[in-house]
Amino acid sequence: MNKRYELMEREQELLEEIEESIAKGGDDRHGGDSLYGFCARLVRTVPQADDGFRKRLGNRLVAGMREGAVHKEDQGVSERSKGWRVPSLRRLLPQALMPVTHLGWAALLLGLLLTFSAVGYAVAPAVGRLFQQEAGLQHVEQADLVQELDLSQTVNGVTVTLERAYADANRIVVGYRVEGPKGRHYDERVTLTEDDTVFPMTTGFGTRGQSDIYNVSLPPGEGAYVLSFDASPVEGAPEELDLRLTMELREIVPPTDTPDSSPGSSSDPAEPMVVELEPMPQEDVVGTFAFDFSVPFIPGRVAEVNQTLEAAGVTMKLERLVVTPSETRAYLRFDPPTEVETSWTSIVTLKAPGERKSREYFYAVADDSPVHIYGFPASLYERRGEWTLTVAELVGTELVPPYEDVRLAGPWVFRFRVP
Amino acid sequence: MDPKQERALLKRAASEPKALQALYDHYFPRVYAYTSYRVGRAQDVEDIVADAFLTVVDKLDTFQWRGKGSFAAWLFRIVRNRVSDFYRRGRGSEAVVPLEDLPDLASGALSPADAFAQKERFAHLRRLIETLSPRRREVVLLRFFGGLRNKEIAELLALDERTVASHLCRGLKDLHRRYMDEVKREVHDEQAV
Repeated sequence: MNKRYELMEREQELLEEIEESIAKGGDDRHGGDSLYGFCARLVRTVPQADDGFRKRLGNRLVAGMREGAVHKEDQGVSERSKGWRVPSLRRLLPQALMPVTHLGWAALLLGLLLTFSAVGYAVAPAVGRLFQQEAGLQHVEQADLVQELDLSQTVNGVTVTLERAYADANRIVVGYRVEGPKGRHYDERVTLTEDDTVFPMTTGFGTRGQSDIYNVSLPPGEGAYVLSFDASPVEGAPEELDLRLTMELREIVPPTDTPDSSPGSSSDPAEPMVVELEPMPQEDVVGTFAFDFSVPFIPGRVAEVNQTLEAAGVTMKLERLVVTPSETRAYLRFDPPTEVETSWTSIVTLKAPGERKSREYFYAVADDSPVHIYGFPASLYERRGEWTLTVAELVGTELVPPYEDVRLAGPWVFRFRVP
Repeated sequence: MDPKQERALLKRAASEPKALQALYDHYFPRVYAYTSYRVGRAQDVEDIVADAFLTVVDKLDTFQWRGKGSFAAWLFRIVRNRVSDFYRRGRGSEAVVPLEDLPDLASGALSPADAFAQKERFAHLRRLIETLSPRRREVVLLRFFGGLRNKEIAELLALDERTVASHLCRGLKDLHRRYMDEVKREVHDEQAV
């Protein structure tokens, strides 16, 4: 037996306690501060669905089963147009709704109508605090690499303030606030461009109102957000980027006539199944905001690795590593041979010089064979010397029924120097 | 659920509403709880849970019984794929979800203050769990909220069962240590005030 996996006696006891705790629904006889007490606390902290949702979905499944074509008919229920349930009120990571050219033209035309006022604005702590939530952004914040912008525009009673921006060879980050009347909900479709170049959005997060988790307290009707965009389309190493952030803001108007969801929820098959259809919320366009701004560009360090390894019958190439103050990216190339079309991703870890532990990748910038780009948002900019990137395993999902998972164990271990 | 009973329900679920409803009633709370910890925002959780169950019904005829726990593993594979799709489409990310947008917790009638406190507890635990490595986080969530046994998790994640047990123990120890660190810090801060 692999000694690494041999469980110590105490761990075995813990496993047994876990089983017991789960079976008893969170019995806390060991006290809240003990490890067992903590497990019991975890067991007791179980989110519960809205009963109406549970019943409606159950009815929908049964009705669909009877019709024999549930999923083919609806192609899923989330934010799609069948309108049988209320979709998310606010997506934290909105995708551009229209082609960029449309947005660009819309911004240009609507921009003439906007009440545009770039005003000096004291940096609210909310966006700054959001920058503290991720190691890479925390570093650029501490290194004073963030460009303060404080550009505000007001359209139809809603003010958007583009507070700050940062750009390096891996990503461009913007932080902004949206202020509207209390009780209103908005959805932003954000596009970042430089001339004809569009930067795809990669990650983002934000908060509205009060968040005890991040110690951010905003007045009602106000939200703060941070979005990251893929900067790899930037060519060369310009001193700065001249960017345009276009934001189409829509107000989400909840349905005014929501049917009672409680009837028709019986699981008795003798009763006719009634699928409650809730009206979709409306989206009213508030306006389009367009911010033009410049931000210094940090080119980062590029290690051209071009190492090729083979394991499990798969040839894998680590082409390069791009290290910037906010993130490190690994560019891998592999395309395992398969009989059926398969989507591949991998389990990748990176160890920089002086680090005690490897770190797992945070997100995939691209994960479509043969190009796989993995991002590690962390402060590794000053690390020089021998790095190790390990691909432990390839994980594939077949794209045809029965959608089996395929796993190919490596490892592929790349060792290389980053100057 | 007894494996024999589950297998019998699965055989009938494609044609008998009662069998489908029984399976749904059994697994819905587990799927919902697991997804809540993975995604956070109640509206997103509902989207994913609904999409996953619709897929289950759609593909039920492709499911092959391979013993106890095989349906749970199959079901949660679908759920995990939906969660992955959600993040792959650039949604959620490491979102800071406002408390009011989080799902409620299992409980009876609660005062608003108690309900708020429960949500805070959920948000806190969820944030702690997010600090684990993806694999440990997955094992802890599938065990505690997905209700899967170690063997089922091992099948789902293509791991050795001992590896799952190891991840579970170490993940919990990590969580507990971080939890206690925060408790101590809070006590210290309160004393300082």
